Amino acid sequence: MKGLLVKEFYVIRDSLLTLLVIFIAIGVGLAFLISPCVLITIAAITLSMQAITTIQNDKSTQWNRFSATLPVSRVQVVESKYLIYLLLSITGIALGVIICFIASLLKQSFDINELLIYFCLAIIISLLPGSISIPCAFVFDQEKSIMGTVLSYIVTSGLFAGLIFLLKQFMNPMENILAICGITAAFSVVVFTLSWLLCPKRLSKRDI
Amino acid sequence: MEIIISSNTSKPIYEQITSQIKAMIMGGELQTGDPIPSMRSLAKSIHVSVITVQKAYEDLQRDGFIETTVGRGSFVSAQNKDFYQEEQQRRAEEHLQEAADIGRTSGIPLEKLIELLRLFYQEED
Amino acid sequence: MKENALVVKGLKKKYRDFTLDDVSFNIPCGMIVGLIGENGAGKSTTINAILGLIKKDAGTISILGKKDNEIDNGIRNQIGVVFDGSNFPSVLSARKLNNVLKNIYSTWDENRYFSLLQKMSLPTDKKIKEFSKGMKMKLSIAVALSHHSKLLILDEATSGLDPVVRDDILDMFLDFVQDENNSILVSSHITSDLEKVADYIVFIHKGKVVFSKPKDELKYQYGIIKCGAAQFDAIDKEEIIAYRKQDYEWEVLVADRTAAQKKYPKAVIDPATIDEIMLLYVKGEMK
Repeated sequence: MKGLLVKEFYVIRDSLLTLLVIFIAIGVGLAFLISPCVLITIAAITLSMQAITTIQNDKSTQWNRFSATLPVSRVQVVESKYLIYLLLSITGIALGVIICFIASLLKQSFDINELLIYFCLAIIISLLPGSISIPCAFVFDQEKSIMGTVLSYIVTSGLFAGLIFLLKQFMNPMENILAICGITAAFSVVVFTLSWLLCPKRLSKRDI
Repeated sequence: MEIIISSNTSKPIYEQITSQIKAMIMGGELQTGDPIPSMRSLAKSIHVSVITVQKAYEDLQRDGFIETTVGRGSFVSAQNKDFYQEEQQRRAEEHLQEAADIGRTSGIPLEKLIELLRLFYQEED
Repeated sequence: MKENALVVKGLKKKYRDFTLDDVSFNIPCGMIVGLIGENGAGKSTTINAILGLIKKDAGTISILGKKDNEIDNGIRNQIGVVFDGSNFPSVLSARKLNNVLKNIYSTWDENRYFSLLQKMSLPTDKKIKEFSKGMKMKLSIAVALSHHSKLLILDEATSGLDPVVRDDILDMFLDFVQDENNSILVSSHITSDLEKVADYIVFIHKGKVVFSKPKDELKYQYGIIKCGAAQFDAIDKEEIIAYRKQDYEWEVLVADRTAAQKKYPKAVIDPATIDEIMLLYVKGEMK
């Protein structure tokens, strides 16, 4: 397992530069418009998405074929992708929180509530789509899996928006927004864990 | 040690190996106790399958020319060279006897037989 | 000590338009077995099934004494695999690959790896995507030889390489089996390479094993009689393995060219290359 993670590290490190550019371009712009804490969410998405690209990269370099002959179980290979996804999400969130913190200090205004909300949103928008896009990336080819990834974000946003809409019927969601986000974030963790527990075994049995 | 394999002759490869090694031993090029290359390294050098070399070595061992011990390799055996030589001479005599009989009964002159023998003897060099 | 490094028995795999049917062959320890066949004959499918990349419908695979489900990571440590084309993430360098693999193979030998890289003149810090095809292949072989493998499995590992590189690689194979605990399964289109190093040749055609014979038998005993129609009729049908009518002559494959030459002294009988044997089986008529 360790060797697999070392490999992911090397592969991702290379695309880190591109990541940084995206991060700065989108993130900084949005930060001024909305809030610096939106960087938490952006960082979580851009970093965790790298895990998905490694799955496709494995296919195109045929590492998936070679790694199936290694003394590592196929289940472990799949699980390592979940692990990497999680680690990248955590890194992104941590990075975002630090930057948000610094930016708030510079702006001399710190809203803990806002930070927590974006924190929860980051968990939701990285883990929920991840539970779908990781298996998709294994099962489908490049084109379809990109669609799957995009769809997973849309579905997640849609579900969340739908939730808010539903709640609007018998309360003012904005009053309890932190609680709502918190619960949804917890829900995302559960779904991601379920995906991690159920998918690797099935995915590892497929023919290469 | 030089072994040359030809794919043009009708002689099977393992026989080519055994006869060349035997010739070297009989001719004194290889002395008793001298090491012979391992089956695999010989196979590699002359580009022949190890299966064939194995067969050749087994034949040589059976005829008492070499000894192979696991872990130590193959060596020229301290076998009774003379006994083997006698055996081969006896075989040659038998064949020559046959040829002489055929020649006599079918009217082939002796000189012709000697000429043929000379031709065959030189062919293998 | 195991007798066979690999035993394939009754291997079956069905695809929509192709079936691997009852494939069986062995690799005795210390031997090099060459797998030949046309494109799409089933060589890669067989190798994939052996390595567990695809599920088989029937049959057993025994590697280094362990059968089917017993094949564990301990065994996989001892199997060196080289596929055609790409094997590793192309952004890695040879050195980075070392860092990855030393944490995966418990038998990884870092010193051996780097000395092999040096012997093959491979750069340690250049990205694999900048390697030439020959360099990529040499790297794959260096990797396969750096974790004390007992069985090397190569799927079309030498196609697209120049003769000089191929000669170096074949030499490495022969060195590898100097230790009689080591064995090799190599599938290749370049039958001349197999003629040089293989001990056995397994011929797969349309998903079936056509023959599994010692290479020396094919190279030194098989022959092709070239003759006209009249002579063709005179040939003992029992001795014909396959035959083909060309524009101006008949070609007949026989198993013992020396015996055939004695029997038909006036006939033109040539040694048969593996390519010619294959062509006669595939394009010719069987007896």
